[in-house]
Amino acid sequence: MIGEKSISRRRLMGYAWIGAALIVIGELIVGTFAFLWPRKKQGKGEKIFIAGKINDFKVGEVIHFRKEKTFIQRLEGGFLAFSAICPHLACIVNWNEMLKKFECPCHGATFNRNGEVLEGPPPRPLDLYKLQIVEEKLVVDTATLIERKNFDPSQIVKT
Amino acid sequence: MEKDQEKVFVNDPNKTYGLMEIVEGTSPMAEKAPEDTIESFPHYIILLTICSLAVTFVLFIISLFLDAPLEELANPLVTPNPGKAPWYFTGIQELIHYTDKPVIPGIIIPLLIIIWLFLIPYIDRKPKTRFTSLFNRIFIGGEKRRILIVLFTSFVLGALIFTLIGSLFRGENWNFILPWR
Amino acid sequence: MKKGILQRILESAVWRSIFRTGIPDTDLKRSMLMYNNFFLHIFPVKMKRHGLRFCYTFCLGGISFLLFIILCVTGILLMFLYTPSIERAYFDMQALALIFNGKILRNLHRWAAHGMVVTVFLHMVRVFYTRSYRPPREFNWVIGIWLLILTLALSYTGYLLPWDQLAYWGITVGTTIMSYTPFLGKHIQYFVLGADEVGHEALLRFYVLHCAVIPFVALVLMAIHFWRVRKDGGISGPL
Repeated sequence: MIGEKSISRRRLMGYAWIGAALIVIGELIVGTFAFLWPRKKQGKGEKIFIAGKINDFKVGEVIHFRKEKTFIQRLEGGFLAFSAICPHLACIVNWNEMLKKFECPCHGATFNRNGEVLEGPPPRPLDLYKLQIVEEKLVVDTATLIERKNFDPSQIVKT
Repeated sequence: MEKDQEKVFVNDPNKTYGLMEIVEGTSPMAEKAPEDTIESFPHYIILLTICSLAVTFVLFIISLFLDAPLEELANPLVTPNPGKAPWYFTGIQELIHYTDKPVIPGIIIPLLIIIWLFLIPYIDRKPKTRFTSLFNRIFIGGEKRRILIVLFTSFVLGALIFTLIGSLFRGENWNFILPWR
Repeated sequence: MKKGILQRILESAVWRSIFRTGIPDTDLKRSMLMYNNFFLHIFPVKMKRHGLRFCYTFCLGGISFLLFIILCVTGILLMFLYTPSIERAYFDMQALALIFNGKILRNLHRWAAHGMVVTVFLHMVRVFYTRSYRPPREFNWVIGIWLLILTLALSYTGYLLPWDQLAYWGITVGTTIMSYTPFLGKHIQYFVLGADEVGHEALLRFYVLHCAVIPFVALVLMAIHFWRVRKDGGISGPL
C-alpha cells in the first residue's frame, strides 16, 4: 500500500471517464467559440482626411464633417478636432448653434464648446482626434483617438 | 346528474371484464376528498380553441390597422433624435440617463434582478435551520412573505414606471415632455 | 341502412390508422382521444374544474405559446423574402410592402413579438402572486425566467434585421452598454458584433441567432417547461 487512502479500480476508471467527458465537452465549447470568433479585419485604409485650409475657418465656428464623424472648431489660438461619437454610448452628437453646445440625442447629454460635459451621463468629455497643420491645411487623423479627463488649453493645436 | 355518476364506467365491447381479486389495503386516494374534475376533451379543448381564435383574431385586427414602423435606411452618420431603445428597454435607457456609469443600470442591475428572480423559489421555502430562518426573515418576511411581495411589486411597478417615462415622456435630446402636448 | 359518406370515411382503414379513437361518445373514448393524440397528450385527461376558470391563470402561458407559434409561422414566411445583408435588408423590407399580404405578415410578426414580451412578463407576475413557484415547482420557475430572457433576446435580435435607423442605433447603444461590462466588455462587444462596429457581420450574426439558435433553445426549454407543469402536479392545486 502506497498511501493511507486508496480508491478502488472501479472508482478510478469512473473518474477517468468523467474527466475525459469534461475535456471533450470543454473542447467542443472552446472550439465553437473559436470558430465564431470574428476574423481580424484588415485596416480600412486611409483614416486621414484633409479638412481644409486654415483660412476657411472663422474663429468660434464649429463645422461638422458628417462623413468623417468629426467636428472642427477654430478657437482664438488654434484648432480642436472632436470626434462626433458620444463617449457615453456611441451616438452621434449634434452641434447646437443657438445654445453653443453639443447635444447627444440618446441620453440627453450636453457638452460645452470645449467638449466638456455640462449635463448628462457621459463619463468623460468628447474625444479628440489628432490634428496637424501641414502647409496651411488641416490634416485630421481619425484613427488616433485622444481620450481626456477635462479640457486643457494645451490640447489646442496652434496655428 | 346522479344517473351519470353511476354510469361512469362504460364497458368497451371489445374487451372482457371480470372480477379478479379483492385486495386489502389503502388506496392512493385515501383521506382525500373526491376531486372535482371534468374531462379535458370537450370542456378544456373548447375553451382552448376559443381563446386561441380570439387572440389570433385580435392580432389580425391590430395588424390590419396598425403598421409596424419602418424608419429611414440605417445611417451610421446621423443618430435620430430622440434615439430610443425598443420599448422594453426604455426603462434601462431612462436609468442610464441618470448616471455617468452605464455599467450600473445597463449590466449590474439587470443581472442582479435576474439572479434574484432565479433565487426566489429557493429562498421562499419552509425554514429548516437557523440560517435559513434568518434568510427567510430578511428576504421573504415569514409565511405571508410580506417583504418579498413588497420587493416584487416595487420591481414590477418600477419597471412599468421607468418604461412609461422612457417611452412616452421623453422627447428631443431626452428632455422631459408630455405626450399629449 | 345505408352508410353516409362521412361515416364511410370515419370507418375507413386509413382514417382509423391516423385517428385510432373513434367518435368520442364515451368517457373512455374521450380519455383515449386526449391520450392517443400527439398534440393533445401534453394535456391531462381530466382537469380540476376550478383550473379552467379564466382568473385562475388568465391564460397567459398559453397565449405566450400561441404567440410563439404565430411568430414561427410568420417568421418562416418572412424568411423567404429577406436577405441578411446591409445592401438588401432594408430594401427587402420596402419590397415586402408591395407583396400581397406582405405588410400584414410583417405587422403580425411585429405585434405578436411585442405581445409575447408582455404576456411572458405578465405570466411571471401571475405565477409570483399565486406563489406557484413553491416546491416542487422551483425548477420550472427557473426555466420560466430563462424563457423570459430568451423572449427579450429574440425581440432584441429581431430588432436589428430591418436595418433602419431605429434598428441601427438600438443595436449600437445596446452593444456599447455591453462593452462596459467589467474586464470582458470590449471582447463581448467584439464577439457579438463580429467586428468593431455595427455592420454586415453583426446583421448576419443577429439573423442566425434570431432565426435559428434562440428559437431552437426556447423551443427545447418550452418543451421542458410544459412537461414539468404536468410532472409537478398540473396547473392548479398542491400535489
